[in-house]
Amino acid sequence: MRYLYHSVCGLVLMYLILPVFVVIPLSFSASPYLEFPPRGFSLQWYQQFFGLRTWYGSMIFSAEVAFLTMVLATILGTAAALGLARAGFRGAEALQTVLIAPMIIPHIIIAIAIYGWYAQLHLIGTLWGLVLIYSVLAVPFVVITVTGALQGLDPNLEPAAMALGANRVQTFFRVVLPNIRPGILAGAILTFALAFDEIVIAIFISGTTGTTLPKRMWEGIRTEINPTIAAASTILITVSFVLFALLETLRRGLARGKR
Amino acid sequence: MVGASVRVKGLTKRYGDVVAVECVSLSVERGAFVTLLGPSGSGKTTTLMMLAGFVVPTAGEIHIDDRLVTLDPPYKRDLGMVFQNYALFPHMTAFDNVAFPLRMRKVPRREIAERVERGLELVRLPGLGHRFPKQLSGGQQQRVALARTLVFNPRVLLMDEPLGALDKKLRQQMQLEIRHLHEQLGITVIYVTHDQEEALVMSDEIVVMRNGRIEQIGTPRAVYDEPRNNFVADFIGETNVLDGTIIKAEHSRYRVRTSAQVEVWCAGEGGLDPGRPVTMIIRPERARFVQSAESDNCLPARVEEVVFVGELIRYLLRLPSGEAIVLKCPNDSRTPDHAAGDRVLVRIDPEDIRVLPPLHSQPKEDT
Amino acid sequence: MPGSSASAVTAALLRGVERREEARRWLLVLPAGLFVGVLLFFPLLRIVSLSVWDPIFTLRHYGHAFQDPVFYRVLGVTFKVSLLTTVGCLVLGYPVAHLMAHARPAVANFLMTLVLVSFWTSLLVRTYAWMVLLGRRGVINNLLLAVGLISEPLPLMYNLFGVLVGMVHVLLPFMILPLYSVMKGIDRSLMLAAQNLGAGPFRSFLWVFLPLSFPGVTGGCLLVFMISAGYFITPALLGGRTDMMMGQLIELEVSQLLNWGYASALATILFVVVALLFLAYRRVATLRLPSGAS
Repeated sequence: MRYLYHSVCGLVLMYLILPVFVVIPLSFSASPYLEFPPRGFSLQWYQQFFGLRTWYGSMIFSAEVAFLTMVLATILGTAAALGLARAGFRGAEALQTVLIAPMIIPHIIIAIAIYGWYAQLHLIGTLWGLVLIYSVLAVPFVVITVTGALQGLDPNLEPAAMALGANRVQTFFRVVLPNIRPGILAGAILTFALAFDEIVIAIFISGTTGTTLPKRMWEGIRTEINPTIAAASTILITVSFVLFALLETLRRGLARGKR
Repeated sequence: MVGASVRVKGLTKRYGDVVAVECVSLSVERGAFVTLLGPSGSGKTTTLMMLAGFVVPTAGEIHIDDRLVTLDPPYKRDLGMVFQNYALFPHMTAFDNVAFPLRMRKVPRREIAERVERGLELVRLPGLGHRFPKQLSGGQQQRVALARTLVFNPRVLLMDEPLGALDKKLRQQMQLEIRHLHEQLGITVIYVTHDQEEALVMSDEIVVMRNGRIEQIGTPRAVYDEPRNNFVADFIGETNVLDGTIIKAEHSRYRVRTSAQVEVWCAGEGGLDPGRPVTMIIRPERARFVQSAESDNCLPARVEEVVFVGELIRYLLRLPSGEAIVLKCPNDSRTPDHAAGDRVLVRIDPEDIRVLPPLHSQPKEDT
Repeated sequence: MPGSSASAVTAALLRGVERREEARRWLLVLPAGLFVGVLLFFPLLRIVSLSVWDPIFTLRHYGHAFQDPVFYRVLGVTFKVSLLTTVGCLVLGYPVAHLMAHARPAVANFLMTLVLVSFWTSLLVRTYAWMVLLGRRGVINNLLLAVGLISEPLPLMYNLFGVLVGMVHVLLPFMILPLYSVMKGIDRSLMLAAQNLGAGPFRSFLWVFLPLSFPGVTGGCLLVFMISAGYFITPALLGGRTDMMMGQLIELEVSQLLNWGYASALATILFVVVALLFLAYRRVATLRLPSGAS
């Protein structure tokens, strides 16, 4: 019984994790098409990736979009979380719902809504077009992580700082900010990851000019069958892993600090 | 001349229809140690928060050193505040915590180092400045919090249940230490607590609060020995409450018939007429056993329960009227060895029975 | 001594202080609120209006939907896929969450990392991986052929099976995380008490643990169902022509047929369904960020 339970869990976890690792060996394949296990080892698909502007250019573009989204969403989200923290003012709940909405509305709906509107505004395929809508999607994540950090903060710290003579600005920069920094960083990392990986909206509004890496892959999956996509996937996986590791380090550091 | 350090007039805070503090007026002498005492929800913390400037009052005025500060933000009031959980900045060392108010006041760096060291010595923590709050024990954190508020010589020291998180022994030790600091520095202290014992030990004056109002202001002795009403009597120390009727009034002395039909002499403020129902309050330690009805003011009773507490013995007695009364006797050879079921006689001196208008004519708690 | 008019002035000034404090908070929230409001709600309202103005007020797009057999088929598939995905996630996720909640911290941490690694990997990459695995000449078929279990490749993809394998895989973390957080909160002494009172391990699970984990079950199920209903990428890549879901139909109407009015009506319907599911979800769980950080 116990044995069965453990093997079921093991199988489920394999199911969860295995696909991620199928792609990586494929990207080093020497064969011209998808074959598993891959025949031989080569870096030809990476050469292909970094040799074609349509591929590596899209990666750079994605990084730009993700970075700008991170900056914009982190500032907006942190400010909002600070304002919402001491809730109980008129309209706080409505605002909270507004700020959570982007997390729950299906992306396909957001995508076509934005698509139609951006077409009128000539924002299709532009860097800022993507940054703006990704920031909308990302703000809730920042609000949630920063709110979490604020909730972990001793509510008396701010009053204490003020009683000791710090004004509002000093209180924020010297007392609040240093203590919620991990929450803000976590929000920023999530935001970067979201903007770097987003695909549904990109399919619609990332045009022929501003193509993100996921959009380029989406086009590739339907037309090319060579493992360049596996190479692109491996790059995406690596970026995700790095971001995830950063987040975990941050979380562990935070847990240690609390002890 | 010793003037008022803090003057509060008609201070009121309402949240919608809920009244947190209702028309509190108070004057605190310079250098006094005043405690706001009350159960949770009595408005004592809200009052303190209004003094500190964290809660904006609905109405009323606050003067500190004869300056109106009602509209000033907290950081311009120059008050020191110690919080229940210390509120030490976790990302700063003890030194930086203590230096914080000085830095906010742009004190020169050399002077800061000196004053912080002196502050830490004052609370007997020299040499621990490099530690972070989480590396300090609860008592040490408490001391750092104290040093942090004292270091900038605030005009008034506000303390919100500062010892609530400490264990009993440490709490008692800190109580005395805070008292000594107060005596040494001569600073005005306004202290909030729900612990009546703490209030009695530490204060020059106690302000008893309930439901946002002040019930009584007085020295610890006065509020203990002459409580103005049942609530104060019951909240401060343990109290027996008996019903009775006045049969004779003689300036501040009353002859009262208890429900058990025994007549006793009692003390109390004047102005109560014969025939009036009253409640009598008796402190458990002021009653004692007697062998026979040697004199007046004796009540017959039956022992129902005996609890050995160590330094004293606690008796639960039942009067013929069915009312219960508690007696605390010192654990010495003069206390007779009674057991449950024994019939006994209890004597209380007239000045130890206080007569008050009965419960139902006093403001009741909302239910 | 200040008279009553002076105290009225003080009261007014005090209200002013309070209002300024409130205004300060509003100013902090406002930029984000406006940003999301304009960039999200304006286009969404535009979609709703497109669905009923063409060029004057009309409900014909909705009428079209409710008369079109294709719409009903797509709705049916959407419902079927969402339901099966939810059941699949629950069946596979429950034991894992249970194991995580009871394992030693180190093991639990490791399992959590596996779940989060999967969760963090790009959705497109994971779906692509399933294409590689499930294709006609994919990893699984090649393996089975090599072993000799089958003589001809199995149709594992471009059908309902493929969609479900991909969807359950992608959404499993959304089930495991809420389940885990509820299970973690169940007092372990309750199980010990049940056993002390005479219930065996299985019965104490059935009578004590299972009912206590229900909030996680409903929360996770609603969350997974809600996300499934609006899903697009995975069914688009792994599904067949007959298994079209709502998201795909909307995409088709917009990008191939340029039928904006009808697509807008479909999007509005989908939005209403998801919003209702979300309201139900809000009743059973607070929205938490599915990550180890919170």
